[in-house]
Amino acid sequence: MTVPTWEELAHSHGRFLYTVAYRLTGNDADAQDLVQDVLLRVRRGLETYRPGTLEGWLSRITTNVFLDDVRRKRRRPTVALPDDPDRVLAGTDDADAALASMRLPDDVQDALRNLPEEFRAAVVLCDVVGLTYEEIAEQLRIPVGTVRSRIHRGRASLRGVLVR
Amino acid sequence: MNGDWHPRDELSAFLDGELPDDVAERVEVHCLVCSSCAFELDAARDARRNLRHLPAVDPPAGFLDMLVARSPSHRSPSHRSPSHEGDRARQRAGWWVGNAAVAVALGLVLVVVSAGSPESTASAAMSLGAAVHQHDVAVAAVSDAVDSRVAAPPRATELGRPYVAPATLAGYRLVDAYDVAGGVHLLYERGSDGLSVFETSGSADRANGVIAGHPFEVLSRSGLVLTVVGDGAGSPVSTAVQQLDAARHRSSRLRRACADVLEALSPAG
Repeated sequence: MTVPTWEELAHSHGRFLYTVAYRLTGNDADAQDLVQDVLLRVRRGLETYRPGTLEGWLSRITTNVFLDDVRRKRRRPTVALPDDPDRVLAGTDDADAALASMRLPDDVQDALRNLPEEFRAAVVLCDVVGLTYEEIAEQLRIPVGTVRSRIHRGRASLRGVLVR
Repeated sequence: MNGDWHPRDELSAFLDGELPDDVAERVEVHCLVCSSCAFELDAARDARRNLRHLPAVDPPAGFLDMLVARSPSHRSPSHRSPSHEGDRARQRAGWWVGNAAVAVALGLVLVVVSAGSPESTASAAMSLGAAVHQHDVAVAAVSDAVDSRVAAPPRATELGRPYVAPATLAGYRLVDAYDVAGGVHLLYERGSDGLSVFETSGSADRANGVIAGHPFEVLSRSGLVLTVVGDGAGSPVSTAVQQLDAARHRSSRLRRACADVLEALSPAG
């Protein structure tokens, strides 16, 4: 098995990367940001990649970048610009908004987005990527027992939304 | 079997076949007699089924192509064709010159407004030379971008990473983005009018006003200074700031990207 070039990988696994990123972030803009960051890291790390489960490697990078970003934002929370009651907020008709409005309602995705990020990462790696608990534990650097707990509690949290 | 035992966290692992055989058997037997756990097992099964039926998501059309096209190995050295020195460039010359003056003034303003803060440093604001240089670079790069009709979002040229900023702001179109000393400079244009958004590190009180006929607005939070400078009659500087506020999501991306820049630029970061 030969190691793909970065360009080949971007095209062949772009949809996979974007799917995982979208499930983790819950929106198109952040998913695009995440995919860009991941592909940059992939570019730097491709030389060290050893042929194996490419999707496992990519999902590891994606999840780590996502969680790193979450932790960074917790350390340095993003603060909205000062409120000014005199301001009338202008509407946005940009491409992002248009894209968002085109998406069908997705209760499952909405429910997923409301999970704590660490729980969401475990659930996505299990139910979207299809990794085993042991693989998830290795990727997230947490004990298997913690994986078990996060996946179950994550799924349990979805219950209220997903009741048919 | 311990009658008080309820396999809460093990239920999903049971569904996923991730339990040792003896524990799985315990869980299975328990759920036959415990309605609460049986209910929770069904709920977990439903959630799992819904999650696993989520479809793959297609990235926006052209997104991957754009990323690949913007990768260093695909980027040819930029060159300026003689044509871009023509009418279009001349048309913009007015606001570039004006904005260059503002940028120079801005260097002073940022130094002044941040002078009272313990966090303030000269490096937090652009030096006059850096401001002028950045505008020189900006003018060239904008011309390149317009000439080549690059549809992809601009990127900070020397950061080695994509930089995503709001594509439009107050009716202005983003034409390029640059890393400047300690921050980022975004360039927007609308016809012959221009708008510059500077994000730099440091601290500044809100210091709105007019410099050389160009309104500007300075906002400071969390060690970042956001300055919006515009020109032209009735320049919608405050509208641009409103839109940064309104487009909270993209604004957050802007700030996050800037925070990343600052982190990368800061040895202590």
